[in-house]
Amino acid sequence: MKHHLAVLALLLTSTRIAAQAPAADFPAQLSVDTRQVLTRIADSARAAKLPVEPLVSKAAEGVLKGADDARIIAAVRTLARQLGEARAIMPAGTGTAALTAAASALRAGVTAETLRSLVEAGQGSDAADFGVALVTLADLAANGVPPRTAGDAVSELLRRGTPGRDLAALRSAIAQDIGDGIAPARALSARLRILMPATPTPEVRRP
Amino acid sequence: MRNALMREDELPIALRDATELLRDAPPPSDLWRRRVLKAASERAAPTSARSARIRWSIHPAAAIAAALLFMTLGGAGTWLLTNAPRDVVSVATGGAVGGTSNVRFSLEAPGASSVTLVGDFNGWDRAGVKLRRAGDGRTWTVEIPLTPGRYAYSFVVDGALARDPRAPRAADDDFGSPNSIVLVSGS
Repeated sequence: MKHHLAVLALLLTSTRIAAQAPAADFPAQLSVDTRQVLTRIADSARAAKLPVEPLVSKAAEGVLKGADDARIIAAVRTLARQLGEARAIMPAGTGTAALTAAASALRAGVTAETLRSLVEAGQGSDAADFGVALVTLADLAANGVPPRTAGDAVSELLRRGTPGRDLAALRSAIAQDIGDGIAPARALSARLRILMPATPTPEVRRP
Repeated sequence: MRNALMREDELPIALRDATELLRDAPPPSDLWRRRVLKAASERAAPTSARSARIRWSIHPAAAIAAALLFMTLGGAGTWLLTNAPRDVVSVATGGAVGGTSNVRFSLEAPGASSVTLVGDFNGWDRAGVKLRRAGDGRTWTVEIPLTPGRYAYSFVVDGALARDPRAPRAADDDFGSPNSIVLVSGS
């Protein structure tokens, strides 16, 4: 009997160990205290079913850029919070890249309401196309296109079944235009006239 | 490619007039926009190796002739001369489905002695991925395999961080040095 209990205990322990996710591998250059704080943030994120890789990557970026530990902790904490906000909006099963893009969109000033509209517009879309739409929205907003205008435009394109490849091309073309000195909102309008020639382009609205 | 298109103020007067006319041409056809968007994807940089193999170079005179032809056919030349994505960057599409794509990163840094690439894909390791100087002595390039996704990255030019000037910048500039974003599509 004792033998059986020992085997059962061993099995349970093994199962529990196997079920645990690996500890987040924060950069060794950080102090022990900082890594402990970051690990707690990562553990909370993991418990909330959020991906931990973006948090580790953010810390590594901070190390590379010579940021102090307090700044790195603040950045990781902010990202964890935004990932959580994004998770609450995005459909179940959203991948890490899309979730990170959604968090980035929120960071760029896109509202939860605009993100929800995009999710609604993307219902029935191919998952890859929706992911590209999300990245497009995040990048447009981050590059100065008024977030709501960007959201309306990308949602409309999704509703029209615009494939991810076209959305990616739109994103690149607008980035190029902005790099050439064209105002972001104008760049979006001009490119939308190409993609949606028969439709009035969304008005530039306040974010 | 970008420099292959002549600046407008460098055009002969007659051709300048032609470009003015083209500006007021009617909107392009659906077929034309499809072609343009396809070309934009294929010319993207960072770009997949597959698209990188098909790189086009347009002589200024040829570009102008093409524009005039399009005006005759339906007026879409306006877009070509004034708004076309000439050397669109920062999107990588067309990679192997479900696998990795070889994504090309490039930067013009004529005076640099070393350029490396750092980002999400290498854990922001300062050692980075080394770029090689191209034959023109100005452009540094590297190709790396990436799975579909969205990656933040930056160049390190002679030890200093430098954002890709031709790519969308990331929203989250937490450390005072903005990153660029590359999108690798699996479809």
